[in-house]
Amino acid sequence: MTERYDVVVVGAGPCGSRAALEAAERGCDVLVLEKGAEIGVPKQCAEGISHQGLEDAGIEPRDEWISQEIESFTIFAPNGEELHVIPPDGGYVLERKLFDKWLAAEAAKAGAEIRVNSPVIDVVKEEGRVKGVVVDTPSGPEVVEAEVVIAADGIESRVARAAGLAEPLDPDDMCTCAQYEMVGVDLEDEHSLYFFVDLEWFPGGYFWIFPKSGGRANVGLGIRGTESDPGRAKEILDRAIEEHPVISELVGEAKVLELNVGGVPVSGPIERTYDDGIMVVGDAARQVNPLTGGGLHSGMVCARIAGEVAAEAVEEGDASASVLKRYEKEWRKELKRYDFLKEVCETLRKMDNEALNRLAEALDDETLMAIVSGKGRKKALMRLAKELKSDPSSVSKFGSLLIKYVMKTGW
Amino acid sequence: MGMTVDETRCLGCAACAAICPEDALTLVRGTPEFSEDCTECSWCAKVCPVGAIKREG
Ligand SMILES: Cc1cc2nc3c(=O)[nH]c(=O)nc-3n(C[C@H](O)[C@H](O)[C@H](O)COP(=O)(O)OP(=O)(O)OC[C@H]3O[C@@H](n4cnc5c(N)ncnc54)[C@H](O)[C@@H]3O)c2cc1C
Ligand code: SF4
Ligand code: SF4
Repeated sequence: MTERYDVVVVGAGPCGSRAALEAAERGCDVLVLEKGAEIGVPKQCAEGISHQGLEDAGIEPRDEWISQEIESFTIFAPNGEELHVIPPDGGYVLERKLFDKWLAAEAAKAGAEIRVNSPVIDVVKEEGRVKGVVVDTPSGPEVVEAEVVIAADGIESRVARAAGLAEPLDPDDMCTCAQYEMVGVDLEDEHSLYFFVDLEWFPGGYFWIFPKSGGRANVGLGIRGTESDPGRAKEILDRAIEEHPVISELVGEAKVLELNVGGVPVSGPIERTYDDGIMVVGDAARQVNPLTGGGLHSGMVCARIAGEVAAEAVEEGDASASVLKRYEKEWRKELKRYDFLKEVCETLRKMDNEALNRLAEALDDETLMAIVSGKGRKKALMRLAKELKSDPSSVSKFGSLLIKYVMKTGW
Repeated sequence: MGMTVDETRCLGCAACAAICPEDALTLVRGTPEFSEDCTECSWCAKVCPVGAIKREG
């Protein structure tokens, strides 16, 4: 007999589990299908998230999966100039292996069923409407029917593709990343996230050191797919640890515990994240911060909304596109703030190292702090915009962008 | 001829599958498999962070 659930979630990453938890808490019969043998493994993440991010996702912080408290950012310009920023809201570096498992367990406690080692290979469609999924099992392909399918299958997004909702990513819209988890990392401030921007070293991306407990840290980088060559991300990682003037000082003596790799979609979300019987969430929907590449905050917020809308659809006995559309309407409102970040990101990409250095100089600690904290922000932005505008390089674009933003938002 | 994967290097991250313009690459039990739609454009090999994919021939 064919199995049947109210909601089938594909993928037990943070977004799949968050959606499953929401739908199960609201009384749905939920099944989560995860292709891997263990939830949370392999880790493909630097594990940073803000306090606000967890709060927006509706998750109470817990010591068991928090590795480090974060209070500031330390940003290095190509010339080694160092900016230190204390944002109004701090954050955490998580222990994703424990966090992912905990979140899946919460979904299970709320009533969701979870199956590992269960890759979904296709969707079942009837008259153009998604009716379920096909799972690869040891005894062959099996159909599981669902009122609503939630595709949370990460960057590969095979389910969204099968449903006709996602196209392959343009290599220029993906950052390809390599990271070590290291131990013996000697940071001046172990409560600060370290970022290194240098377009010659890290084209179209950046390098990071995110400290964890016990002298450990995630040490890695991302570069644009178009700037990549076979194995280049890992080669740059190794070379930066050996040779980069600042990075080698900080982690040159540290030892490797893990190698993590992955792709980050920075295209902005797919055009349409729902259809009859299906919603797409998280990396699969490319709901990622376009500037930082962070997808935990945005993805889990969208997943919570998807779980809510799935429960409404089940309750109303109507999972057609006209009901699931509520999901897209809600999450677009939530992620509206990323439009500006996308513009910032594109402008930054047009700069060269020299321009970045000038930007870092104009953006002294004080100005940056004012912008980030909000105290004296407008004045600081205006001053900065003026300074940058007087510079006849691509930096001036950044200045005009900021002026536009100040005008538009009335900061 | 054709694309090959070094299965001991591949870490199953799916970056290659995400960009394949022909949708010719799927991860099967964690490693890439190529369908007959593959045009050998080598984009998958290019974006692989660890260089696990090669074009033979
Ligand atoms: C190197 C790196 C560093 C990062 N650092 C950060 C950071 O510091 N902060 C941050 O916020 N974000 C970061 N990100 C992004 C973040 O990791 C992702 O946005 C986040 O994991 C997305 O969650 P998800 O649940 O959508 O997808 P995933 O976490 O990718 O989970 C998808 C799940 O679906 C499963 N799956 C896939 N296909 C199928 C299938 N066909 N059938 C069944 N199961 C399937 C997978 O096995 C996986 O468990 C980073 C990414 C990378 C690559
Ligand atoms: S990009 Fe490389 S490491 Fe990642 S799945 Fe493809 S072949 Fe494997
Ligand atoms: S060579 Fe090109 S077409 Fe073939 S699998 Fe790789 S990306 Fe796809």
